[in-house]
Amino acid sequence: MRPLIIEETGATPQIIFDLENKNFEIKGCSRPENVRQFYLPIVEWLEEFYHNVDQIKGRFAEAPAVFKFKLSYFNSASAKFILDILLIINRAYKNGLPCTIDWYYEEGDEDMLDVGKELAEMVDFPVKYIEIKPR
Amino acid sequence: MTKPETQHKETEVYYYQGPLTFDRITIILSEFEKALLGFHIETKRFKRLFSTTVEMLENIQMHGMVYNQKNYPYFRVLYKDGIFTLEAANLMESAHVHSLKEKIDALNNEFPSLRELFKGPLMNNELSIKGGAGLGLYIIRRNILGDISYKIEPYIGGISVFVLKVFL
Repeated sequence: MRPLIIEETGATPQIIFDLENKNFEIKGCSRPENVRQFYLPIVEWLEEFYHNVDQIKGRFAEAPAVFKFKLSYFNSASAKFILDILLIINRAYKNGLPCTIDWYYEEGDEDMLDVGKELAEMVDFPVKYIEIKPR
Repeated sequence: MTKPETQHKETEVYYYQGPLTFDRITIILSEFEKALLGFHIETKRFKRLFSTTVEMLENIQMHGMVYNQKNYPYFRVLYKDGIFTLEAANLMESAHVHSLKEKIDALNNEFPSLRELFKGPLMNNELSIKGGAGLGLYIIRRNILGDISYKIEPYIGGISVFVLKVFL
């Protein structure tokens, strides 16, 4: 699979979905002008990832795939797509992909921690919460 | 809409009246962030103010209507005794008043968990053309102190004025 790399802007997060280098990361602020247009390629990449999970999962036999969510903020329109992303990863997990989520939140941002915990209730795989210093 | 007069000794932290586009909202957020710097507020509250502002402005951008230049929407933030008041007003189609009231009243009366909310329209891919299936109001309610305060009054044939006020 070709990597999906999207540069960060003031309103959209950086996206790195790179199977070859086992790097999966969403980082920054998410309030895109057109939320569907922004998230569609990400959802499509993950759907392809999921459809190939039988071939892919062997690569993560020794160490699970870690999907890193380093969101400083996301608006309500982005929330639906973040949940969609988590649910696709969940399907891959249920089909044998060893994986975890690292959910980052800034020190003092208890709401981002709480949202992570609430979203984690909707998936079956382990979620780790990591506090970081504000940028 | 004319700018409302401030009746108490409140500090006006921010005020904007005019058309709202994505780029204008970006500018407002940047200016508002700068205006908040002087208040030395903690991260959690700062993020709640930012989040509430985004949802209020995007709500106007997506659902508000401009009747004429004198009636552009406004957004203002006041500060008094440690509490921020965020207020926004815009014109809306009167046909949508009932459903909007229902949504806000439901959130004020019984506040669901995020999980319960996601079990509903969002999980069923029922995003509206314009936005996020009422999630914006939910986020506002989640962020603020107390209920969402609002006022909706008829303005002119088929158009109403919607004023949203929250405390944080």
